[in-house]
Amino acid sequence: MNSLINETQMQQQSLTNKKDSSSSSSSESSIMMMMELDTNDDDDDDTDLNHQSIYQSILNNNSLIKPMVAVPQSSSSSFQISVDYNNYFDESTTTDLELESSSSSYMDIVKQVHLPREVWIIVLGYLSERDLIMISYVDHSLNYLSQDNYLWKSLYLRKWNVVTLPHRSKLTLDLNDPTTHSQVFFSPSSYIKLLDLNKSPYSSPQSRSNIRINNNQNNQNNNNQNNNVNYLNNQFHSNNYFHDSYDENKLSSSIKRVHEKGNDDNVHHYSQSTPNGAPLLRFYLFHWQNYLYSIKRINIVFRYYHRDWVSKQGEEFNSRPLSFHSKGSTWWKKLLHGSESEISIVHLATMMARGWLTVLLSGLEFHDNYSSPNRQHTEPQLVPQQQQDAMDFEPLNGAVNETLLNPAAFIQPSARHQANPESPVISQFRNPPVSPLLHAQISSSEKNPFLENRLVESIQICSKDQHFDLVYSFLISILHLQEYLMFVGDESPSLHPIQHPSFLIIGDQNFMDNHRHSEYHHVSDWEFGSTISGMSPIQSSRCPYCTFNPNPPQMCDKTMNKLVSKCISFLQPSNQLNKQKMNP
Amino acid sequence: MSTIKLESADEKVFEVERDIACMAVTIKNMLEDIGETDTAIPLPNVTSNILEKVLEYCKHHKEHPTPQQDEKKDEKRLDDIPPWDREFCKVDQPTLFELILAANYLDIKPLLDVTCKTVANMIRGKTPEEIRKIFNIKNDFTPEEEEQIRKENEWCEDKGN
Repeated sequence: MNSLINETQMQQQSLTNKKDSSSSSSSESSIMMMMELDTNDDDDDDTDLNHQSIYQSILNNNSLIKPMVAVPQSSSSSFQISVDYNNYFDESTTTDLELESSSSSYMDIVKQVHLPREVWIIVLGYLSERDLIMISYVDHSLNYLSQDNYLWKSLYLRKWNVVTLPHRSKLTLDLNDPTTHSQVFFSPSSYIKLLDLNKSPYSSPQSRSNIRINNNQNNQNNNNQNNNVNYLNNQFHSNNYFHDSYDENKLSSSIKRVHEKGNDDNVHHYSQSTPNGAPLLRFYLFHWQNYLYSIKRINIVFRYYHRDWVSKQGEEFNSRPLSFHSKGSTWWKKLLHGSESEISIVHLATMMARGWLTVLLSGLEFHDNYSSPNRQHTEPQLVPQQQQDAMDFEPLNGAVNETLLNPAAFIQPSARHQANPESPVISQFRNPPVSPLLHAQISSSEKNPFLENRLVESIQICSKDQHFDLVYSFLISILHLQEYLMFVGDESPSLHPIQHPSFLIIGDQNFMDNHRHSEYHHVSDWEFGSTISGMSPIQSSRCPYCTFNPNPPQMCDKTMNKLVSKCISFLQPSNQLNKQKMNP
Repeated sequence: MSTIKLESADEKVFEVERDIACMAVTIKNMLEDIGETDTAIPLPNVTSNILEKVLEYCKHHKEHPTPQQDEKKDEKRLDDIPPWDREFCKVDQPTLFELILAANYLDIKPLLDVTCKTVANMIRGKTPEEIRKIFNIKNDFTPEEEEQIRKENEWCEDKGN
């Protein structure tokens, strides 16, 4: 059974890998197109100039005109295409023969008939994307033309049913009418209410940053309600935005569901039914890769959204000196936080990474809090540790202006949620068959149930089964995740799907000056032992609040810290032994 | 019915009805600018035989006005060429291209549309090699460049429908 699961998961994994690589070019080109869509309006002047200059050249060069005059007269009988019109378009071969048999002088003249760019665009505008692709192979100039925005924009709108936001058509709404107000506006305040963590039974009162944000939001809701409405009146010119109450309900119910149940049903279910050990780590890595894949797509969508809509919204304002981007940021800021305060935009990847972490890690985690003797033992430790975490996050929260919630606040409550009578379902995995060699380790960890975690257990099993590649990939994914959680900025971090360890790439991110190094370190799993002790590739960058110098590295999040130290300890058994000797 | 004079590039003068000539937006604008005149309007970009064809087209469409369709800009169809226009476009390629240039210059949108559709029909469904033959275009790509384009187009080809 296990092997069957392994196999299918491996297949899925390889499939996603393939997909990823094949579509990477697509994403780039679509970005390019999206980027170019905006400049479409400006192109007209250029084409006019182009057009005129071509005419000028025709005018100046009489030799161009005269032969062309002569041809139709002389060729009227010999070159008239005699094929029936319908056949003409269906059977290309006949026309080809026809043209091939033409005299060379005739062809020379044809060659000199240049259609101006704008006319070619009209012609190509009638073609499908398949024909445009064919055109792109013909020659350089046609290739250039075939990539014109004008062509692809309409194709996009038609073929893929992209909904354009009607930024030009303004509809005035009577905001005093309560029904209109409730139907039309998915206002920032209601958005925040949906996300309000105080409503969630799992919000952690211990998390100071969390409370502060909620208070902040509540105050802002009260104070800025009117401002928000006024602002939205400017922004939402049409009632097409968010007015679909079905969508709103769906969104709100899904958010509620996530809050109530702590995570997504499917992931939770599968994570519970996956046995510990290699399958669980593969499950984790599989979903991690899916996450990496989807985050790319979502960033593209939002980039497009930002450019196509937010920037158009910007045109409606008179504040020309501001760049589009800063106007867009203002807009997002207001939507997400409903305030004027200086809050930088939460990067979508960061938000999603946090959500992903909550869903997956908390789904995999269980604490033995319900087993009373250990609980009493660990409870005193728990609170100071969390406060310590909040302290650790203090400078960071200041830096990003409280947009980052303490990940611990997410993990701890949901972990508590796990500590309910459902847990016996999981606990059947708690005693996997272990070799006598490692039995000592596992039993020692069982004595400290606060550190218990299915992932930790899986790491143990993997290390026992010599699946170091999985452990390594897992470690890297945690480092990546850590990076995203800390990363706030305008650009998406470079995402690398995790492949075989020998192709592993560790992105080198410099947080301090926001410049990204293009250097990537390729580390094979055999080098890993030395690099992890030397800490050369990872040391320089990543989260500024994580330290890599002590071995194992100290992550700024407690849960991940535990996982990382487990990973390291199993990848470096000698270290582990030392530690055991030191901490008997 | 007042008439005006048009002079082609090869210095032939055509006398046409004002309404017909005004189907060409360029001429219409010119007449508005200069007012009433007896002198021939020079059209240095259009040769006499092309101008003749253009005027034939204008005359026909003045007499047989096409019913105004709903202007759906996104709906670009290739199979809606009226029979007379289709017959009109059955000319050899240089003439067709000349007609397009003239229609573009004189700003006669229906003629431009119909001629462009004809060219588009010639391209539709053809391989690059066939397109090169039809328009006598030289393949100026190196094999490496072709491979590059193939890579760039991959996204469309595997999802293409």
